Amino acid sequence: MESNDDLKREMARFEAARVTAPIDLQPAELRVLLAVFDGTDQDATVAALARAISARTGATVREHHATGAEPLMGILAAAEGADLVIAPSPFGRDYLTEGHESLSTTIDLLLTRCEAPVCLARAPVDDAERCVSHPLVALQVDRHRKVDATAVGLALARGGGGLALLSVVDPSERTKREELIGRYIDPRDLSPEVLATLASARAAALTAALQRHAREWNVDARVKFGLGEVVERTLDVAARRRGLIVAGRDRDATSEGAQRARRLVLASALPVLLV
Amino acid sequence: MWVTLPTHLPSSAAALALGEAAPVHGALPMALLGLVMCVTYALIATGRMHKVTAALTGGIVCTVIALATGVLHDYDAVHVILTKDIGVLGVIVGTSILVDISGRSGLFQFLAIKIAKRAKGDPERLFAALCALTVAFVSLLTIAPGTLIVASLALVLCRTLSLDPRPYLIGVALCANSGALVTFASGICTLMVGTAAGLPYLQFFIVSTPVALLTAGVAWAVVRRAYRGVLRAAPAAAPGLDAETARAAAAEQRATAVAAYDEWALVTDRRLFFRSALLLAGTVIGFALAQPLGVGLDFIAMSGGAAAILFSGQDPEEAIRKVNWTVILFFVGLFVMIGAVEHSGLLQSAAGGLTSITGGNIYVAVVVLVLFVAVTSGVMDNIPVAATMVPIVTTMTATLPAAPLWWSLVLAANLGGNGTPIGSISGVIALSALVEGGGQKVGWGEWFRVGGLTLILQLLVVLAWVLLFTGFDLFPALPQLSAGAAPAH
Repeated sequence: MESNDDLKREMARFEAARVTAPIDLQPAELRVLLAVFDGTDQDATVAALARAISARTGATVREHHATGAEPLMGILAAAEGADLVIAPSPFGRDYLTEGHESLSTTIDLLLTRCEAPVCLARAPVDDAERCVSHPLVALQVDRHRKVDATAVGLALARGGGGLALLSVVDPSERTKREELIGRYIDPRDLSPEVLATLASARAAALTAALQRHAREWNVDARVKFGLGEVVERTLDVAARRRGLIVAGRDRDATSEGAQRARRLVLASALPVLLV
Repeated sequence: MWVTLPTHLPSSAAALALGEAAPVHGALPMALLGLVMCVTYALIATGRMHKVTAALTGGIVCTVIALATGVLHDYDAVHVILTKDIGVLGVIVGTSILVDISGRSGLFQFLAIKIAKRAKGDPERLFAALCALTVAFVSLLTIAPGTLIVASLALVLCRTLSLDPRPYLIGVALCANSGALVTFASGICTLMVGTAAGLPYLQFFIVSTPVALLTAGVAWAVVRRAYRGVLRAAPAAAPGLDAETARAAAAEQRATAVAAYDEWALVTDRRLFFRSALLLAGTVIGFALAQPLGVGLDFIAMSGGAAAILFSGQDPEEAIRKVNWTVILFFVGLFVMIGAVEHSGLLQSAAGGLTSITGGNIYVAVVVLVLFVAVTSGVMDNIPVAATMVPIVTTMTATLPAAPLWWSLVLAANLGGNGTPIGSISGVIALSALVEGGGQKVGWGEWFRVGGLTLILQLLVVLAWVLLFTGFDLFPALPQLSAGAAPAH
């Protein structure tokens, strides 16, 4: 017999479908890619990612070989007019020996100063085409940039690829009371089912916009929900999916979103594209 | 022309049906087994014990009594009793998996929002849309999951539109029992009686669907009339406006509020969404073709369930957990208990008594059967009522035309639950939704006023339908049961 929990879950599911602010989602335009090489073991990964992204989007690839003690200014200058920068992280050091220690100062500054989205190469990628064509968009890394991140993910996945959106609720975070009330969710009830519904509600507008046009864009669109710490959950799902991780990034390095994005890159062996 | 007698009746009912003497085991075993069955049913009806615990305990006690008194010669007889109903259990398992995966795909929620939005927030149109949705969803998903989806949507929309949820939820509850009559596999009770009678799926659909729609129409009309004040009263959009402007503004406001629900927001996996639709359609077509193909409905249901697991990409463990084990265990206990009682000859005696009351007149038999089954289904779960009545009706078909009796049983057992708030699972879900979601209680008095009247009118429709078909010999001939399609009890 169906229980009250089933009833609550079903009600919450319908409530999550109330989209108060519809989104007009369109694939991002990627016409020019900048591939940055630093002479380390990551150059092959950067080249493979650049080729794969170019093949999927039709973008032209510009190469920039960064050398010298101050490579940042050269990269920023080369990135003028580029729609996407592909760079190794850590910069100037081998990923296999120092990849999990730091992103490197050059990349930290690049993430702050570069206007274009930045795709950071990490461990060598076995199948760059599969990796690029099946991105995972982590919506809660920086929720203010989730639409832009999805638009970039869509640009990579459309034309036969697969796009997954991941919406995560962290129970340890103090969930905003108004967010719960706005969705008719009882703030006293923060059971996993209710939190999962909140994850679904947070992604509702994007889910609707994506699924409505998924056939037109020829993309296998899925939405996944998770409970837990955002970076951990994202890495768990990404490890199973083996696709590029796409997330928003705040230009303010001290913000919570920017720090979460850095932690994500540092812990990830898969390439991460920060929008 | 009545083609009635199933050729595969392994029980004592068959013996009686074939004109042979019923097995005689003495009055004591009959009385003991009858007492255990009555106590079990009383426990189920009063809710003093969980229905699964009551049925399993009743089954075990009856087995012990039947073995001790020689009603059952050996323990293998229990397995024979259960084997007869393995098909029903197979359909429940297969459809549970398929329904769970379809539910997770968002397919039905998508359709529900899309249809509800067409009402543009108008209370009366919304009420009609929800009643229609209930019949459609229950016919495809069975009564509990179908009711759950529509009841949840009704409650959420009522909150959004500041509407009193009572008419919507009661309408959903009453229409659900009509939805269970649309196809052979729409309800467990329907499935059990249909299997026992050997009714082909398409034949069932053709005869039963008009009654389902008529009785749903009765429910819609009664609830609409009972709550006309609630359904017509619309909250004013703003103070200080003249009545016409306020009405127009309120309608506009409601339309905007409902339009905010985006059905696509519920589709988390587009591929699964379309695959679910195809699998469900394939299973329904498979049900219709089962008999010409020479397979049972359980084969089709299990194939649908297996295909759903295979093609959905969902976790099989999760789908298996969603199988309705409560109903399956309930059935196991119930079938063993009824099987033992049946072997004692008690149910055949009851059938004989019932037949003699009717004086062998089929019209009287139909009226008595419909009223008896409807009343008992109102006070307790209709599954044990139907399960107990199957061997009784089987016996009665030896001397009376079979089709009117089977149709009376299936229609009355499904609709009888409308008479009380605890008579059917749809009523229980709807009332629970009112308390959980709206903090409102509907008492027995209010239910009787609406559900009771609905039931009376629905029974008149059923009686008219069955008696008309009987009088003009319109029921399609029942086929002979094949060896692979053993009847249920």
